[in-house]
Order: sequence, then structure tokens, then C-alpha cells
Amino acid sequence: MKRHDNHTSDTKTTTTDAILESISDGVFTVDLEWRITSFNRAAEEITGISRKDAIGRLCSEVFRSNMCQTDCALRKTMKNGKPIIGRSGYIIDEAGNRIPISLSTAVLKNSDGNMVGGAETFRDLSEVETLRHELEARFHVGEIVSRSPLMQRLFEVIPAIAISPSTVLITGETGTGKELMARTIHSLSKHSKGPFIALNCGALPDSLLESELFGYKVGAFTGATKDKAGRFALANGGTLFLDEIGEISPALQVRLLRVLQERSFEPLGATSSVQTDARIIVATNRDLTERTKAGAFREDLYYRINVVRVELPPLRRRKEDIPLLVEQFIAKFNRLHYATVRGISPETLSLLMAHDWPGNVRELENIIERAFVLCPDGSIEIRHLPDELILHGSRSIGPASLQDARFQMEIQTIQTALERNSFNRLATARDLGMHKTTLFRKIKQLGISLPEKDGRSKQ
Amino acid sequence: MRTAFSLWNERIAPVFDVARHLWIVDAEDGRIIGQTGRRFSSDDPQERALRLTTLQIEQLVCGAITRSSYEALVERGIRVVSFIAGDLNQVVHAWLADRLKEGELNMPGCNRGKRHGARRYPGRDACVMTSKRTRE
Repeated sequence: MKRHDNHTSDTKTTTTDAILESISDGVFTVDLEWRITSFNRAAEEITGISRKDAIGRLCSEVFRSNMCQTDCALRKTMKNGKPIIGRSGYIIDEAGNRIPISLSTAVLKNSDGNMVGGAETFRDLSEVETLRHELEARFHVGEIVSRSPLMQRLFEVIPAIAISPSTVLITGETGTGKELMARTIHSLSKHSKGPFIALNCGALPDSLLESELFGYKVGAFTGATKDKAGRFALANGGTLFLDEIGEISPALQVRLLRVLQERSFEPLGATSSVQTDARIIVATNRDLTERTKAGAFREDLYYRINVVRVELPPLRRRKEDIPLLVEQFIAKFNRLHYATVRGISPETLSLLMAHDWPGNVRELENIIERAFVLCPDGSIEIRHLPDELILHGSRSIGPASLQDARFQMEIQTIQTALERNSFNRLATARDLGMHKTTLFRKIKQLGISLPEKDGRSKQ
Repeated sequence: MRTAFSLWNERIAPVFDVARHLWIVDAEDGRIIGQTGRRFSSDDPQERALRLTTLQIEQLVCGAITRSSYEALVERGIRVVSFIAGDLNQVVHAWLADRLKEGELNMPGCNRGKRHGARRYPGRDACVMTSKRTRE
């Protein structure tokens, strides 16, 4: 009988060992002195440490996790007897790489019910992390973050635009991030090692703007006591970003046109031309087509700068980005202000989603910065928002305008679905779970404008 | 030479990146001429490297270290002897006698060329982070 018991016990041990060896999770056990007593095959593979080297050593010196010293999960479990499941952290391999892991813990007891040690199982999350990074990268281009289908379409073409030498025209309302987009194009271009020179054409009077752009030679005018390099010269080998291009005078438009055509310019008072290979990116919040029709902007210059056009949508057309942007600004201001704001309350976020954002991303950034002044830690609440936003928000969610709020929500939802489906109305109706005739009726009723080209149009 | 040992429970801290305490030893001609303890207040690699520079540390003896922390230290001219494990006194004495390179106090899996893992995981080079002196 005894022999039979021994045999059963041996079989059990062999089975347990076989199971431990076959699983893909790392498993090790420790005694009450924190020394490793068993170390399975997966643990060897994940840590890169052989069982022979691991057994008998202190678990913290084998496992080398960020949790070992200050926040050991196994220590907690062995103290209170409660297992911990799925705690995230990292371990360090012998080449100094962080290996992301999730771990779980349990207490080991003998047949008398006394604690004899602990067990830790851990899983290598490197592949999951890589996939997560790849997924996140889809929502990032340079410093620009967006999940909006409108911006996703831009993200797909930005790398190709960046490597081409063509002049880029960036259009968009104030605060949509035109300069950030220009910087992103610069950082992805072959000029990225060169300088990025930005100039706001609307900020300077015409005469000053000319000398700023082209520079001057000594003696070119009274007070020109030495040569001054212009922005075109400074941007050589890099990118010149001209913001508010719609504001420049007709005379300067002619000079600019010449630089864009000839790739050369003459500093004021110079007798010879200077060559430039600066990539030119221009931006405006004006409708240049209208200004061209009105005669305020030269048609030839318009066609010269409108080679590649990037249209940045206003924030009200990509409201799904608000939570992502808020998160990004909170992280930024936590760093800048040494603050510890954890996040934003759901009600406050709803209020931000209901706002129209005439000042776009810049307005949102300013509102978050303002909230940091009033709330250096904890969560951003409605009371930390400016009055005009709260009043506007309360008006829009008040009972008097319930129908308006519903219409706004319907417009937003239908517009986003249309964009997601490349304006194919049948696909949009299917996406929204409604019949196509209902969608057509809603589009008409809500006055949603559709592009001339839609998902049915042949390319 | 002023050397810092990252410390936890009277032993070399297993992970430098999250270690809170340092034991600083000044030595001359193989003899200790002064020693003291200091704390880290940040987990940021750059701030920790700056802290060591401010304390005029020339060499750091530590346990496992991530590449980012290692590079931040080397950039500031600090020599790093990493993946060391053991009781503080034992490690300090081995360091004084220039015996750390012998490998007896290496962390598990870091015995160059001898370990089972070197054959089993041929892509991995054991303890590549034991640095050479970079500031001359």
C-alpha cells in the first residue's frame, strides 16, 4: 500500500513537472529565505538565465524586476496570503533591455497547511507591447496625434509629401496646428538635418518683411551698416515656413514668385543673385481662391504655391480627438509645471466635447493650461474651466435646446461615419445601422454638405 | 577614487533604475579613506546621472541596469560596473582588491562563456553592460 502511495506521489510530481515545462508562462518558486527552488523552461527563456544558475540564488537577483525592491508582489502575497493576478512591470535582461511582463503570485503550503514559500508566474509581453506601439504609431505622425478618419487620411500622405521637394500649402483655421504640421513635414523630409526657419508674414510691415526675407547688403539703405542674411539664406539646406502668406503685399508677391520659380533671390542692395535650396512651406487661414478672385492675391503665385495642399480640419470636425489631445496636454503640462494632474472628470470632458472650438487645438491647449493653474493635482473638474465654456455648455445641454443638442449630435455622428466610409452613403447607412433612405432624409434635413466626389465616384 | 555602490537591504540593489540608496566609498592605494550614504529622489535616468555627477562619483557598482540609465551615466563620464550581486561589504572588499572582474560576484546568468545560457541562448551576450572607462 505504501509503495502504491509513493508511486502515486511520484506520478503526480512527474505530471506537474511535465506541465510546468510545457507551458509558455515563466514559473519559479521561492523558499521562505527568498531563494529560488524551481525555475521552469519558459522562465529560462524569458529571463535568459539557466535553471542551474538560478536555483539557490535570491529571486530579486535572478528576476531583476522594477518591482523587486519597493513593491514586491510576492512579498505582499506571502504577508497577507492573497494572490495577485496580472500585475504589470518589467524585468532587465543581461543586455540591459527592458522586457515588459505581467505576473501573478501565490502562496506555497505543505500538506499540513503551513506556508513553505511562494510561486510567481510571469508572461513576456514584448510582442503585445510591440503591437500596441505599432497601433499607437498609426495615430501619430511626428508630434501630431489623431484618431480622426480625416487626419488619418492626411497621415497616410504626409510621408510622401515630406520626401518630395515640392512647395506645400497648408490651409486651416487659426489654431489647427499649421506650424506643427510644417515642422512635422520638415522633420520627415531630407532637409530634416537643416534648419527650420519660420516667419509670420502678417506680423511685419511690408518693408521690414522684405529685408527679413531676402536680407540686405551694407549700404543698401540708411542704417544698413553691415550685411544681414535673410530668412531665405538662413533656411538654406532646411525649410522656410511662411505663415499667413495671404497677408503679403502685391509687390512682395512678385518677388516671392520669382524666388519660387528661379530658386534664387537678390538681397537688398546686392548686385548678384543668391541661390537657395530651402524647401518652402506656406500656410494661411484665408481662402486664397476667394482672394485670388478678388484680385488681392496673384493668380500665378497662387498656382505656384498650391502644388501640394494640406487641409487641416477644424477641431469641431474631429471631436473624437478631444480625449486624446486632452491626455497629451495633461502629460505636457504635468512635465512643464511639475504638477500631478491625473486626468479629467467625465462631466468636464463631456462639456469639452459639446463646445464648438472656434480657436481649435490652441484654444483647447489654453483651456487645459488654465485648468492647471487652478488645479495642480487631482482631476480637472468643471469648476476649473473658464466661465464662457461653462455657460455655453450649460446652454447647449439645457432643456431649452435639447432638440438642438440632438441635431448637433446627429450631424456629428453622420459626418464622422460619412468620412470613415469615404462618403459612400450606402456603406455609411450600413455602418450606422439605418436604411439608406433614412440616411438620405437625415442628410437633407440636417443640411449636411457632401463633397462632389463621393465613395461611388470613379477615381 | 570615489565609487558609489547602489544599495538595498545591505546588498547591492538588484535593479539600479529603481534603487533609492547609494553607499559612497573614497579609496586611495587600495584603502578606504571615507564612506557615506546618500539617497536618490528620482527614477529619471538623466536626473540620477546628474545626481551622481554632483556627488563627484567616478565609478558606479550596481546590479542590473537598463540601457537608458547606463547610457545616461556613461555620457557623463561615469564608469559603470553592472550586474554585480552580493553583500555590500563583500562587494566593497572585492572592488578594493580589484577582484570584481573575476566574475564570482556576477549576477546569475552573467558568467561569461561558462554559463549554460551562453549555449542555450547564443544570440545573447552575457553582461555586455560592464563598461570600459569612457572619460580619460
